[in-house]
This record gives sequence, structure tokens and C-alpha cells, in this order.
Amino acid sequence: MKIKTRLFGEIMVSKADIITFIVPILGFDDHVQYILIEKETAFPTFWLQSVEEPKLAFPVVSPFSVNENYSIKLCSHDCDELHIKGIDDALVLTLLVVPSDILSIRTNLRAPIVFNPQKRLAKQIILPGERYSIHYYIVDDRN
Amino acid sequence: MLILTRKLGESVIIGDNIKLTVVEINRSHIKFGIDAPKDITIHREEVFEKIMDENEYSSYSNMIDLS
Repeated sequence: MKIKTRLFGEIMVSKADIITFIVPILGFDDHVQYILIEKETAFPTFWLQSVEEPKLAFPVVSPFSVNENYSIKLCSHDCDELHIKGIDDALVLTLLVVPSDILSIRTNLRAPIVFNPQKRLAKQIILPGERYSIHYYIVDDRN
Repeated sequence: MLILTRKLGESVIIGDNIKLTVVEINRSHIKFGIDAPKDITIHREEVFEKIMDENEYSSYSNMIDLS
């Protein structure tokens, strides 16, 4: 099917590419179907585009690429829900905020999106404790 | 909203398997102990709100075309 998007124009979406959020992204309860778009000639490069709402898209990044010490432990309940049996079944992404002041670009390391690429299931989880910031600044050193 | 009065050390049971116990009372704050199954997520409300706000800011992001 074709969807019209705010950022990428009209794009073709095949059913097999659709990612279903078993729990919606917090605050976006009406939207559970997304596709992951890679736009090599753009910054940010990766986006979660809503299939249901053309205006809705979230830029995402691998948290491991912005913080080399990043690690998360998934609870068995999350693994069961997402059908994750081993590390190869899971992809972890965090949402970026790209403000007009580009130096303030930040990502939310506390609430990553865990995604099973084979089963096309995803969920935003909230990590316990305060080890990782909700506002992790990528460019400058105000962390 | 259901409002119950509890004394220090007393509990309320929510559903079949969640137990909330008052473990400390001070003038301006109360400490709860929460016993719940592992699949029940428990977070401070303000953490939820901050994450919701940050998710919303993320959705306002613009793309910078480098081509």
C-alpha cells in the first residue's frame, strides 16, 4: 500500500515491513504500526514512520553508537512478549530529539525501543533506576 | 478516586497479587514498599511524564537533507 508522509513524500509500504508495537510509544496510544525508514542522504538517517498517521515520525539511533558503555538487561516478560530468545532477535533503538538548535540534539537512553526484526514486534521499555538519562546530549558535553 | 486511610506498617492489596505497604511516614513524604509480579512495571509518575514529553519532542524533529 501507499502512504503519504510528511517527511518522505509518498512511499510504498509492504505488509511484511510493518512493525507492530505491542505497547504503544508512550503518549501515542492510537498508533501502533510503524515502518523503519533508512534515508542515507539525510540526518538523522533512521526514522520510525507511523503507517496510520502520515505526519508522525520519530528519528531513531542505535544507543550503542552514542554511548559505548550502553547496555540493557531485558526482563523475561519483555522477552516473552517480543519473542526474543537470544541477542540476535533484538534490536535496540532510542528516540532522537532534533531541535532547531542542532547542538542540543539528544536521545532518550532511559526508554529504548526494543524491536524483534524477525517477528516485527516492538515495545518501548523504561529502564529501572537512573543510570541512563532521558535527555542524553549527543554533541556537547552537558551530560 | 478511592481513598483509604492506612497506618505505618499497614497495606492495601490491589488485584490478586499487588501489595502496597506504608513503610515510612515523614512530615512531607511517605515511603511505600510494593510487592508485585515481575511483569508489572512500576515507575514514578514524573518519569512517565518526562518520557511522554520527550517522545512528543522527538515527533517534532525535522529531517536535514544532505543530498
